[in-house]
Amino acid sequence: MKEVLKVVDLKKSYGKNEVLKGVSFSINENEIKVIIGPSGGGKSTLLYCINFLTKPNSGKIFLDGVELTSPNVDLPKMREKIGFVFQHFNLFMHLDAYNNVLMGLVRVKKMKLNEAKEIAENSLNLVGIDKKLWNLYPAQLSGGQQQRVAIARAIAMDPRIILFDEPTSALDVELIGEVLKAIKNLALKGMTMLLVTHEIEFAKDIANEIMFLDNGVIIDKGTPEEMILNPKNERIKKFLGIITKEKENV
Amino acid sequence: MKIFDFSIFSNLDAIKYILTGIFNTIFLTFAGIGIGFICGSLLTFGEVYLPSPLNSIFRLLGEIIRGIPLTVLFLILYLGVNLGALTSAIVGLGIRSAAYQSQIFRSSLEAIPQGQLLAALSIGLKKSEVFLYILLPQAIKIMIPSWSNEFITLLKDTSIAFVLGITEIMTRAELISRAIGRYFEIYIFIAIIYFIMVRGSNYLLNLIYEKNKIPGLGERG
Ligand SMILES: Nc1ncnc2c1ncn2[C@@H]1O[C@H](COP(=O)(O)OP(=O)(O)O)[C@@H](O)[C@H]1O
Ligand SMILES: [Mg+2]
Repeated sequence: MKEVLKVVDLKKSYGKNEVLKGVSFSINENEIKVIIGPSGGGKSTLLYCINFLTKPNSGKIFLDGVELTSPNVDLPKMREKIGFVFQHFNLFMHLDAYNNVLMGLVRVKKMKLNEAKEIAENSLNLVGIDKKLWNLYPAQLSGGQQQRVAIARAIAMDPRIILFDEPTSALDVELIGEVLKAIKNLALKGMTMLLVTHEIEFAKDIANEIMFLDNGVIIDKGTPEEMILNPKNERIKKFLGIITKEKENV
Repeated sequence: MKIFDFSIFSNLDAIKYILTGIFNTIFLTFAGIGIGFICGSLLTFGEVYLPSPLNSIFRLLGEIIRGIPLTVLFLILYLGVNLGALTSAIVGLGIRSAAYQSQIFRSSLEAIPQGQLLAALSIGLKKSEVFLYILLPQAIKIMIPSWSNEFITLLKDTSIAFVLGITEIMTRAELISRAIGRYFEIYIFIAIIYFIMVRGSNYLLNLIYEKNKIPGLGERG
């Protein structure tokens, strides 16, 4: 199996606050790995470091064997191959849904408009954004719709892997399902993904492997069965307990 | 003596003389706003994108200019630097507007949520492209209302070029008033002219604003 992403001993500090204390893992083609863990544990920082939205202090990152952490790497070119879906969607507010997806195709991939449009439309269809919504602006869309447009924007670039940073945690409960469904669709198409989420049921359903990141360290990893159904680690048990309670209280 | 003596408005030559000053007023406004736009952009660039000790020099420069009354600025240029009257007026209005426009540009750039920049980088745009395709178009839309205010302030402040003897409306009104010995009517008259110019500008700028509004933004609380 082909290795898409490899992270080796990644470290990141903000001042004296050591947020990532040496994180290593890899993801093969078509694999889906999920990161869970308590708030403040460094999950977002890890994802941001992978495509250099935040600069790591040390460690190595490889995409398809190319080292991103080497000094003379063409970062924009590498980022193009790493999709990113943010917690707060981060759509371009001055562009409608359609042009949000088109932006990267036209400005980064420099595609001809006809070609770009076809890809944009396919991407929007894949995440279930109806044609009626294509010319609406982000501020006119619901959170669930915005996040699905954001996913379309990422997949349109035909990335090697997509990183998701809690894609549903800013959403009202009734909107979570539509976004998870869109992600599930990508999974069925064989998209390689690294997903941070608190949706434990979804993680169990979709993940090949679940990693537990706490305090800047991956303290355990394993199949969904090992990690969710029979967690051995006390901290994971406690964490899952809290998550389940929160769910019940909604 | 009557409070209002409208008969003076039958002196068409005098009225025509004052109204011709509108051209100078408009010229000063556009020259000032134009120079202010270019220099203001440079100031903003310096403040926002230059590394740490340098950017504070630009910021300080803006603060100093904003702290000087326009009249003083005019006289520094005219009597101190020995520029000609018209040049002093244009340069004075220009650099003062630059200081205010740079503030408008900077806060408009800063008003754009950081997340969009990260998203733009994440799809592979270069930093310069992020500025061009994401930041700039939004900053322009955001700045229109405060930029409109600056335009109107500048339009009115061209009247201060009076101290330099530039024959814009204000100076001409003063000359005529003195010649015919009636001040009240003439100043009310030019107040109305300024008001009409301000309303007109406001109307046009508001059209531009409405045309460039981002749909849905600011509509839901
Ligand atoms: N830009 C930043 N500057 C300083 N500290 C940060 C920054 N981003 C995150 N942190 C800190 O890093 C730690 C991990 O944060 P984060 O990666 O967001 O955790 P998680 O996503 O698991 O909740 C927290 O202590 C947070 O305060
Ligand atoms: Mg986070």
